[in-house]
Amino acid sequence: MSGNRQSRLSGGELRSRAYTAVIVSVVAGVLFGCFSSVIVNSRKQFYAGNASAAANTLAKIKEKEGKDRILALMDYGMALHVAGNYRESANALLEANRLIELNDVVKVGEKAGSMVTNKMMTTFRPESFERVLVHTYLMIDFMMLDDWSAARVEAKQALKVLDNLDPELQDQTFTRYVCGLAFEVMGDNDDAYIEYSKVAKESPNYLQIHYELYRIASLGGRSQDAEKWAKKITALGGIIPADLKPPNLIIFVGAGRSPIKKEINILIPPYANRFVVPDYVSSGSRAKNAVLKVNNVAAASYMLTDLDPLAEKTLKKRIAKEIAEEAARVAAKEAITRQIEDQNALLGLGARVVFFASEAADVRSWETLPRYLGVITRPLPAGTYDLSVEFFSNSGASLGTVEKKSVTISDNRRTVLSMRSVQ
Amino acid sequence: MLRRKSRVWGVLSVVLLLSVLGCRATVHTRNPEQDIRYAAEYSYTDLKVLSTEMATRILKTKLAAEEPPPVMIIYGIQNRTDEHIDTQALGDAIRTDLIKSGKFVFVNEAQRKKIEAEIAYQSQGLVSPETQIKIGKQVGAKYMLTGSLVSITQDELKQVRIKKKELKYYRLTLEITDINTNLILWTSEQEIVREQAKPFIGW
Repeated sequence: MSGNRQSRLSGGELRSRAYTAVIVSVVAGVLFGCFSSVIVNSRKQFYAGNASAAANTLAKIKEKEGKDRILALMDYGMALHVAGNYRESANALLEANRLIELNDVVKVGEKAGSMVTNKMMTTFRPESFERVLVHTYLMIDFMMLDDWSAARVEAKQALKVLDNLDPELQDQTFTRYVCGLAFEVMGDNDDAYIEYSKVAKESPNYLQIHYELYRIASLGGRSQDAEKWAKKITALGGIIPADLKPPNLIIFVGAGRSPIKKEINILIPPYANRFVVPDYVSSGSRAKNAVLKVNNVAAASYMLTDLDPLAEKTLKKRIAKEIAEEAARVAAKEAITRQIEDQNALLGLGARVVFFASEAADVRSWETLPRYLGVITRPLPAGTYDLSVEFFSNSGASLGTVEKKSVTISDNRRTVLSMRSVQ
Repeated sequence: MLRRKSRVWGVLSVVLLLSVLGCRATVHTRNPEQDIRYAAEYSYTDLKVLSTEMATRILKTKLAAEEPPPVMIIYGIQNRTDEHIDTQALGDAIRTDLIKSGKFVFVNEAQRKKIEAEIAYQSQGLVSPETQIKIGKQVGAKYMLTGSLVSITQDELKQVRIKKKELKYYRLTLEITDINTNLILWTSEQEIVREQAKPFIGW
């Protein structure tokens, strides 16, 4: 009976059925592979200024296995951080980092599947600067929890990622500053000095970093270096401090919205194949600077990292690989389409439409990151203070104030705060 | 045809059975002495090996022969690695071995605040005078145990390869300081070197 049945299906019919199965699989794959609507909704809540709601939304999917889980955890960690839940934020980011390391392999199955669908079907892989920033936010989370030893662990991990990058991607000044602080508080002054020196090299106009370097050089008996930094302080209009006390209030500032990835579409004649690659575009941040007001004194932020150019530079570094992968995908789809067309013109047309529609660039990115990352430092006498940080646009327009009541400042320990404007 | 049908059912049953067994969550109890590791990173076996070895070395020092047993305090083992390692657990394990030996006694530094709170509570007149803790009876530590755990990671040079190799080096250094004289009376270190190869290709 089976022989009869097989004989009833000709080779052509069998192939047609197989091709139909391929097309159906591609359609199903693309439908199931759509970017999680939960992440999209949580981002809307986050940028509406409701980080807690965004965290609650993401809490529903944080443990759900899937290709976007790393991204969901990164967004979840950020939402919790902005909402002030630093313990849970650290847990989420630690899990994200564990999964990033676990998935740092070429997944053959996913790659093969993505060759007839698109790259959005694969497990999310963060850009190198996003990996570094996972560690940076972990450092800040641990500092907020007063766990400086854990912050130092993250500093070492951040530097491990940074040191493996192309030299032109290594100047992630904000991260280096946070690493320097973690090292300094843990008494690793030599390591702190190295990182602060790199910050000074990339941000030569940042007066405060020269104070930090002057202090560490003086305390370590490096008189020549101390002299060098003293000259820089004077040149930048600063005054050589009488004592070598570090600033005991440090506020990390995040302003604006990170750049987002968009799809660049190119139609290739004569068969109208779509060639798509991702590109970073600025998301139109308004907030750029912040000013701390405490004790009737104002202190302005210094923005150390602008993610717009960094993201662009990072993608540019690997775009050749992205183009080669896309070319292979387009060629594979075209070859399959032609084979189907040879068997069945109508089915071939269907395949062409499905492959055309299924083409999509991988535009996933950690969109809840700020565009600008900076710092405000201030030495304060021990006591309890009500602080406010006002955010400003590039043109100087006020974008609102974040207040912190009853902040305890001690003489012998650093108080760290983290403030964010999502505008 | 009947034979063919039963063969199909047989194959389907095997596939079903395999998938059910493959998807089933399993729990096994393992021997803690057994060296099981899934990665080069610090694991519970390292905790056991390092703490047991260090406790053994401390017990061979002259300090262990002192009578009465000297009072010691652990002021923490610093985690200077690039991993989140609970070095307090390492200190706790060493202390457990030393207390078990009967050669050292320890003051409970971690519970000082709670002890102070309990003493304050008992001083309010709520407990009977005969059971009330007397102030000034605590024992001062003679020796201080401190240390650090460091790690150095060395990656293989970038080249065409199918596996990424990594060398991981750990060194635990412990020291005992005489609190009275501030002299380091004993120090020792233990090293672990491990190589790990991670594939670049997965499924």
